Amino acid sequence: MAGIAVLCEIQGGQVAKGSLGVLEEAARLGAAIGEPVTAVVTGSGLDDAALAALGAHGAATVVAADDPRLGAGLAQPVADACAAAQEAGQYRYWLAGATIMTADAMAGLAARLGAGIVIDAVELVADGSDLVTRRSGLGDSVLAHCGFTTPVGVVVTRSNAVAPSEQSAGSAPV
Amino acid sequence: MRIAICVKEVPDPSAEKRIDEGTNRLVRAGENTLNPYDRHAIEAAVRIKEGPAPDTEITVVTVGPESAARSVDRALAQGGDRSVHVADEAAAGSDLLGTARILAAALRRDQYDLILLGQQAADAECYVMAGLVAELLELPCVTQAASIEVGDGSVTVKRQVETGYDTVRAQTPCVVSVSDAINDPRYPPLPAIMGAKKKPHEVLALADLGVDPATVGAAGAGTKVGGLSKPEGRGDTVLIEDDGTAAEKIIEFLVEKKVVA
Repeated sequence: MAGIAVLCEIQGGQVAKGSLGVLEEAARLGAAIGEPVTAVVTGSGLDDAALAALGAHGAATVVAADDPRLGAGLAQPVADACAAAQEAGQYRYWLAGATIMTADAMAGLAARLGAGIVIDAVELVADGSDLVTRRSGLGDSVLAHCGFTTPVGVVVTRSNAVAPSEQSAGSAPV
Repeated sequence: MRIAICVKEVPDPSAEKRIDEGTNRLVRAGENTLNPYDRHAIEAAVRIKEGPAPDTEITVVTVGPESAARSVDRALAQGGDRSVHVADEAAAGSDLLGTARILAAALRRDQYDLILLGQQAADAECYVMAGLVAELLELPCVTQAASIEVGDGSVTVKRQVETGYDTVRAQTPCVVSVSDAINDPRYPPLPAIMGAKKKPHEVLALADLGVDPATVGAAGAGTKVGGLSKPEGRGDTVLIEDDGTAAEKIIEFLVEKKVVA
C-alpha cells in the first residue's frame, strides 16, 4: 500500500472547500511521511480543467469517476467508485472532510476493505512514516491519538476542521 | 414487517465522563442509559407499527456487557417486542468496524425488512455505524432520515442533508439511520416499563453468531489509541465572573470588539 487518497466532493459544480482543505492537509502530511497524494473526484459532468487545478491544492494525481449515478448525492455508488480506485491505486490512507455523503461513503469503503476508520478527526499528524489522527472526544475535552493496525486506514475529518488556502497556480494529471 | 433497531448503552449524558488511562477506553462503570438518539429510531418503528404496518414485529439489537440489559429493557418499554443482546467479553474494546461486524452478524440471523439506527452514539459521537452495517450486509443505506414512509417492498425517506432535503426511495430490506428531528420519542408508561422484562430476551455470545473473536474486540480493532492529550486552549479567552456587573462587562467587551456599537 502506498499513497494518500482524498475523496473530494462536488458541491454546486465545484470541489467543496472542505475537500480542498483536506487535500492540502494531505499534501503536507504526504510530504512528511513520504506518500504521494491522489485526489479522487466523483460526480457527473466533471470539468477536466477544474480537476487539473486540484494540483494547486496538493494533488499529485487526480482520479475522476464521472457517471450520472455519482451525481445523485447517494453514498453507495461513491463507495463503489472509491473501491475501484483503491483496487487500482492500492492507497495506504483514505481521507475525506465530513459531509453526510462522504462520511457514509467512507464507512462503506472501510467496511468493504476491512479497514480501520477514524471519524471526527480534528488534526492529522505525521508519526514517523505513519499517519496519526487526533480525534476529539468527551465534548472536545480530550484528544485521542488514533492510528491504524490495518493495511489501509480511513479518516473522516470533522467538517471544516481544515480550511483551504487561496491557491491559484498548479495542475495535476487527470 | 420485521424491523430491527440497533441500540447502544452509553454513559449518562449528565454524568461526568473520564477515560481509563491504562486502556484509553471510556470508563463505563458509572450511570449508563439508552443512547438518546436511538429513542428516535424506536419511536419511528413504533409509529410504523401503529400506522401503516400493524403486524410489525420490532426487535431491539444491541452489543454490550450484561449491564446493557437495562437499556434494552428501556427500548422494549418504548415499544420493542423482543431483544437480541450480544454480550461477550471478547467484544470489549471493539472499534467501529468491530462493532459493525457483530451487529451485522446478529442481524443476519433474521430476515429484517428494515434496520433502523439513531443518527449517532452520544458517547463516541459515531455517525457512521449505519453505513458500516449496511455495507457488511450488502443492503441499501439511507442516513439522516427526517421522515420514513413504508410502501410495498420499499421505503421512501426524506433525508436531511447540508443543502436541504433529499427524498430517496430504497428497496427493502434496507438500513436507515434517523435524524433526531424525525419525531419526539414517547416516554413509556409504568405498565410498559414493568412489562419490558417479560418480553423475549435472547442473549448471545460471539460463537453463537459465528464471529471470529480475532476480528472484533480490542484484538481485532483496526484502530489503536496511542495516547491522549488535552486540546490547546482557545487563546485570549476572557472569563467574566458575575459579581453583579457581568452584563456591563459583556457589553463593554462587545463594544470593544465592535460587535455592537
